[in-house]
Amino acid sequence: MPPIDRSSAKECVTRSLKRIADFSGDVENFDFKYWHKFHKTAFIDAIATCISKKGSRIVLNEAMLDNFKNVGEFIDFVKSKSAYVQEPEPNLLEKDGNLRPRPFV
Amino acid sequence: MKCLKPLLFGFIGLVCVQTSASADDTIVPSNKIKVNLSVGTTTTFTGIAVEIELKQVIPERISIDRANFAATRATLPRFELRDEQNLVTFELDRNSAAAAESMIQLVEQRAEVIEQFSNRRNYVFIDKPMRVKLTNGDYLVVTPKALMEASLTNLVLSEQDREMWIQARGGAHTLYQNRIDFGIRGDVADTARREFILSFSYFGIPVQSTPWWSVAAKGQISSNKNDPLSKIGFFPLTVGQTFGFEEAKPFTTGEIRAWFGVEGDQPLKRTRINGSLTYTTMLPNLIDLTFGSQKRLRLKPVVKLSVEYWDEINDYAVPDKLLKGGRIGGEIYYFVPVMERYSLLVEGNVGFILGDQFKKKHGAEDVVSRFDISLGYEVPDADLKILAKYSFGQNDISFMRDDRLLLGLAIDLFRMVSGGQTEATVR
Repeated sequence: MPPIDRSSAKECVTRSLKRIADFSGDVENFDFKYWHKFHKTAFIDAIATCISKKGSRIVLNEAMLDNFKNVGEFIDFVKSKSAYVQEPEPNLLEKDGNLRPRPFV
Repeated sequence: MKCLKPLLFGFIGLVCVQTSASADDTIVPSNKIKVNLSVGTTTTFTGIAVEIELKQVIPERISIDRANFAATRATLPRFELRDEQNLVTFELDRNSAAAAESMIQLVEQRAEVIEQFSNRRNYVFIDKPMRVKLTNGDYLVVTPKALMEASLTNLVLSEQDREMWIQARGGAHTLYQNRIDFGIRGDVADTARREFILSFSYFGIPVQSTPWWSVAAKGQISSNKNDPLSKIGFFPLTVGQTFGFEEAKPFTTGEIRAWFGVEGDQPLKRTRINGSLTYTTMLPNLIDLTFGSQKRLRLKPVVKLSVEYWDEINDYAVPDKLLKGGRIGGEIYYFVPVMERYSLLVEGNVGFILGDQFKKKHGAEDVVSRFDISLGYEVPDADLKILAKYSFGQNDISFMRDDRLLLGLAIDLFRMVSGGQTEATVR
């Protein structure tokens, strides 16, 4: 699985934004003003999950969002701060944490 | 090492071409390394990330070879946190190391590390030089001495980060922002009259070893001590659980929280015990007033449903008739963008009061509600907004009704303050 590039970072951010808001058009110029903390928590959880499914890890908190002028800046942040862990996706793990045998294809 | 003398002879030239693939080793000076702490969560972890940033020595359009770093993690040096006296305080798990574009990140979630970062000067020790491969085939070499010099002054956790970390470990409390808002309120009927208003909310975890236990305080006080909208609450016990954030679908994402405490009016002439159960979630957007504008983000409304039980402790008006009552109700936070520049913010609550005798005593109606509706205009590239705010409804302690209109300029009125921060909002 390749490390996160900007288009995959943008895909995760866009998908996560759709969890908490409706919009049309490009996400780059939206900002983080007026968000309830509940929006922020749901948003960063959705991003962390999306990045995780792409084999990377990003450490986020709600307060960070106030530091970005717009979503475009945040996408750059996600792209540059996603650390590649190459871990299996959670659904490939058994409950005890062992790797589930891959099915034959 | 790059081969700079190739091709004098055919055979040697061939060897040199192959050798050039192993490329340069650049030893990174300490002043080109930045070491930061970052507090937050991932899908599997809540804690602190130690980030070794090498951006200053990585050429443009080149990054760390992240796949190579992941594949060779077993060859990394041992990572330790050491204090100024060179005492080892923690060994950071080498297996947690991962590379981003230009930084190496290690994560740590043990509770003890919080004190270590809060109180002492620390540095990151490695037992041998760390070689980091770049996408152009070159290597950066971080020496133990350079990493020590770079990290010794930077590894301090701010009070805000510390608070955030403690709260995050207790389960995301998503509803209460720690904030103080100060405002001046005018009176529509008497323009010379002004009242000073202070509204606040605080949410914290008093004992780090019991992160499930939280305390909360919230309320609004006024320079007019008889202000019917004033209310103070202290809740020494709250417990809660969040769920469904990874999907964040309406109704199936949220937080359930139980509260127990005391609340009253501003002069505390009426106080009561309050036991509550709340459920918070998001709803689908109810209206679209953007008229097709692609520049606006329509945040979904956040709603909180609650059941409350009240047991009166004292009542200055009827001290010998203390009753039990309750309320089933809901709250809403809904930011509605209007066309390209206008904004409407609706915050309010509505409740059905329980207990016939309780209602009769306080003259309360079956349904009690209070709403603030604010209209703002966003000035491009600034936080200044022209404001009109209409508040109406009842306080559910005094049950007195009040309708007010505020007009004027506001600086960043709607801006929500994130957890852990305290910020004064000037109105």
